[in-house]
Amino acid sequence: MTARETNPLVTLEPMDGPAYDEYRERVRGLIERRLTMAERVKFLFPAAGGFAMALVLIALAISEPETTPGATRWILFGMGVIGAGWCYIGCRTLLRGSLNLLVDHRNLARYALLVSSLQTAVFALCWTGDGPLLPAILFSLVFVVVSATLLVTARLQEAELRIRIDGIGPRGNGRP
Amino acid sequence: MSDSNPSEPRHGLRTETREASLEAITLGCRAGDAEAWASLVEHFERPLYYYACRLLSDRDLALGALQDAWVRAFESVGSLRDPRRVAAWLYTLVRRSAQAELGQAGRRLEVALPMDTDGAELDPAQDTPDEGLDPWHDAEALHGALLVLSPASAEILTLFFLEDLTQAGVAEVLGIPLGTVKSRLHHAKRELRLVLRADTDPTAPKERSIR
Repeated sequence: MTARETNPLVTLEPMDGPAYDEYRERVRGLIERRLTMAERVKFLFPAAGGFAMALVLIALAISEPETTPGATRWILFGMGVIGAGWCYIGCRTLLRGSLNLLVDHRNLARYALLVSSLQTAVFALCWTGDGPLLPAILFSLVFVVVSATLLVTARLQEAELRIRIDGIGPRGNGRP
Repeated sequence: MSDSNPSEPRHGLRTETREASLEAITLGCRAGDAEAWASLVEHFERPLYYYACRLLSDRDLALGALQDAWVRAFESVGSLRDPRRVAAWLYTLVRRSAQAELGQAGRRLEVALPMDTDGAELDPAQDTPDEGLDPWHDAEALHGALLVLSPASAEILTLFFLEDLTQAGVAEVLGIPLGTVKSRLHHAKRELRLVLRADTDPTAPKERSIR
């Protein structure tokens, strides 16, 4: 961004001294702090677990005998995709090393997950094994996957924000 | 300054360029971009600190309030729906943090002036020009005057002279109607002129102390 011309008024309130140095250190920590190795290990779990889940379930879906109902195969695929979503989120977190809290995404994802889960459950309960409900169930399942992925992303972002805030430490007696 | 539109902030940069840059920075912050956050802090740190100093009359407390405001900003940037409102949003966060600091000391921000009105009675033609009331003209005199004005007048004039906000933005930060901002600004400027005039009087009271 182009530097703006400094308003001369603000230069009359000095920003220096030990209190300012401490403040700068904490704000820089809030903004720039990267995940430590231990924290990265924590974020490795959804990546590795999701990868394993996707690998096993999709392999199962492909290798099931031909007598297996198509619905079972699709459900395995769906769960495999959920695992792939976890893997994607975990890897993205690890590669970037930081996240940001997006409150709107979390609330939206929570709402979408609730609605799509209920819809899928109702369709599944009504389904008798074949017929026109199958595409509707699969369509609902896509929304479950997408909203669950968004919700997990937001929860991970919150977790990292807590780490950042814990990292900058408490202030003592109202002083920075 | 008298030829500027009072409803628009005044800047060294062209307003459109500055607003577009700020919008891009704010969107970057929402996406978790550390560089965007660094730019946002660099851009607003000094004026927000100056504002906090005027509210709290204590530099260490002001730094504390500013730090808390950045933490709150980091937490809630996702809820900032319109990135063009970033300045008003940040000033509001600083004001809330300053209120919290004062609350710990059992004090409160002075929020109203006895002469507050909705601004309907103000005739722009009769309003005195802003001649001499310009931080780019004589910042030290204004700074000294802001230290001796009543807290509510000092606050609204500080927001006005820092030039980050429109009058609508000032209204948003203070949580008062636009008409009240105009009225309060009118009276605060009058108070300021009296202080600046009295400044030439050696017997007049000088600066309110700031630690």
